[in-house]
Amino acid sequence: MLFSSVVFLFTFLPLTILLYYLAPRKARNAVLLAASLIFYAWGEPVYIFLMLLSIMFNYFSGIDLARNEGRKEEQKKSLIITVIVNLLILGFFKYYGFLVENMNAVLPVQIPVRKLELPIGISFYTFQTLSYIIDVYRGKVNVLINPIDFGTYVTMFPQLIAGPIVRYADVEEQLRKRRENIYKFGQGARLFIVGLAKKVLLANTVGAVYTEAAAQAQTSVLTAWIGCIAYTFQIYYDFSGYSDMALGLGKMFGFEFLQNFRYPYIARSVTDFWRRWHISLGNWFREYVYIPLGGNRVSIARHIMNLMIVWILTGLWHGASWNFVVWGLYYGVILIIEKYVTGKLLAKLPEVIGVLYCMFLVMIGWVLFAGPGLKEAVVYLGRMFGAGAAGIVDRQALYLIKSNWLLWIFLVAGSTPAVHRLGQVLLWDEEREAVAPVAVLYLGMFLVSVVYLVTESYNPFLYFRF
Amino acid sequence: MTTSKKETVRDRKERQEEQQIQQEPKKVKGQQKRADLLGILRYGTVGILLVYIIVLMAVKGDGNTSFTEAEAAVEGAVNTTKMTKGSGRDLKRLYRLNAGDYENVLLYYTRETMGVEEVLLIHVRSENDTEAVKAAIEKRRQIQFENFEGYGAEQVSLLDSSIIKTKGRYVLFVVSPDAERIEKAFDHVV
Repeated sequence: MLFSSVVFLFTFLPLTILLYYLAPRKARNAVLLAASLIFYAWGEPVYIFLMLLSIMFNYFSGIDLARNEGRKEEQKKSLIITVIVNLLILGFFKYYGFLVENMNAVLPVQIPVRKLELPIGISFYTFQTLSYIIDVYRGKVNVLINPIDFGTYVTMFPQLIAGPIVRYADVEEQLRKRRENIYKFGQGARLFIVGLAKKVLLANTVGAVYTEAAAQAQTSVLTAWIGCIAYTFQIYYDFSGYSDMALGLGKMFGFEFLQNFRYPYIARSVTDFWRRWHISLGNWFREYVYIPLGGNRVSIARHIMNLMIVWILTGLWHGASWNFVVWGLYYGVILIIEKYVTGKLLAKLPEVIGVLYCMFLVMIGWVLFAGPGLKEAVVYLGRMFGAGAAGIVDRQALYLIKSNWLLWIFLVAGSTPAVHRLGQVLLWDEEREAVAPVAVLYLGMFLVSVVYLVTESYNPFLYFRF
Repeated sequence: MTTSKKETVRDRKERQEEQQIQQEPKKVKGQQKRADLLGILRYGTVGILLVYIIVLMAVKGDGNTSFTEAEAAVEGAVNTTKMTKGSGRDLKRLYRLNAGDYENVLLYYTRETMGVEEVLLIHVRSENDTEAVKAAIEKRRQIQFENFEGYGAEQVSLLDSSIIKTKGRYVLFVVSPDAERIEKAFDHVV
């Protein structure tokens, strides 16, 4: 089920909220768990069993780790088994086909491929359970004995299928005891509406521009750049919109999840960009891969290796395809260069130059990311720099600029803190928010989004496939 | 009296220690039992998981049907004399779908102004995408209905008997007098 779907907005969500708030406090996690299972089963009736089995295994493993506390060897063995089983499940569903296809291509073998569908959200919930297991082992969190609470943590529908990756340590307290109130609910609803509007009004609309530009057999250099810019905005508004909706829904049920995006397109360097983009994924890799590998407290050569390992894994996390591997490597190399060569220079550059430098590299990265394969990405990149392009400017490019000029303004402004600041100026009356304009604004955004949802059939979520 | 009292206290202490020693193996045994049960539950879950995956592979596995095979089978059944092979741009124009979002796409559409014949085969990346593709196809079919309703009885009849079919990660849409033949060819390989 999509957040941006009529059935979710007008049936599933109102019913869940009603049942949740009617239920006694002690039963609220059970309501959330049941709702989350229905939410997941709606689109993945078969894979609900995979998720349930994964929950059971990790629940028992957590208890096993806690039981072996003080017995280092046994505990370590238990941890290794649990991590391996989790990674095997993820690896099988996500990378098996990719691995076999590559083996067939490289080796003199012909292993039959019997690919299975990628279970939605598997990368997200596997990483969440791993954070729990590793933190129980490290003694950072207490083992969760209540299976309902554990199931709620893993399946919580607001962040189940496209993140953010919520570490158990961040919600340990909230799972047991959290405060819901009307103010928080209102804040959550507003955040949800902002996310919905970002997704439906901006991401989908600019996505259509990208589709139009990418579908051309022959394009000018300018059209190729417009397509690239359109995808750059589409993926930002798509994913950050989804994260806003997830955070908003979390608040509506009393949870506080950590922010996943912090205006990434105003970053002054690529290092800065990755502190602002998909923050929960970056934090996960830093906490559970980079630091255990030694982080930066090692020799330069080892540090470079650590960074490359993390970035290859980050690329692979996004998908089983060579373009994701190259995309990860691309960022690994840039971050190493920024760390050891250009970092100090970048810090001294004027802000505008830093932002332009970062956006240029990020956009090139998105071409590698958008795929559908490495070959297509290289061809597209070639067009952006004149190779195989039909001239510098064509009618198509001018049409895409002229017919969407207002959209471009919204897209640029919305990706900076300017809109937020403007909102504060216009919607705040001295120390209080002006209720009527706020209500009109948010209700308006919601209604327009719903109208778009009903009339438009193109409504994908780019991060679902990860 | 004092000696006997002291002895009693010592006796009690000794008795308690003896009891503790006797209970210790029971406690260890209890823990052992719980550990065994936990192990059974843990590895039992892994066992069920393996069986589940094997069953999934048997029932839902995509098999070895490559797009090339599916494409060849469908193309072989389509009478393409009055049709044009569509590009990504045509897919966008007719269905508002982006070819880049899918593994592979095969599109044929009529060259005739008053024709409605169309064949679309899409191999999606994830089964989750099939719903969006089907929705786009439904929309296209609805538009065609509206275009021809009232004056194009033959076209409306073809649209009525059109086929929208999903199998694994394949979505097939056929508007053609040969719809059944095309569907059979598709079923044969996918």
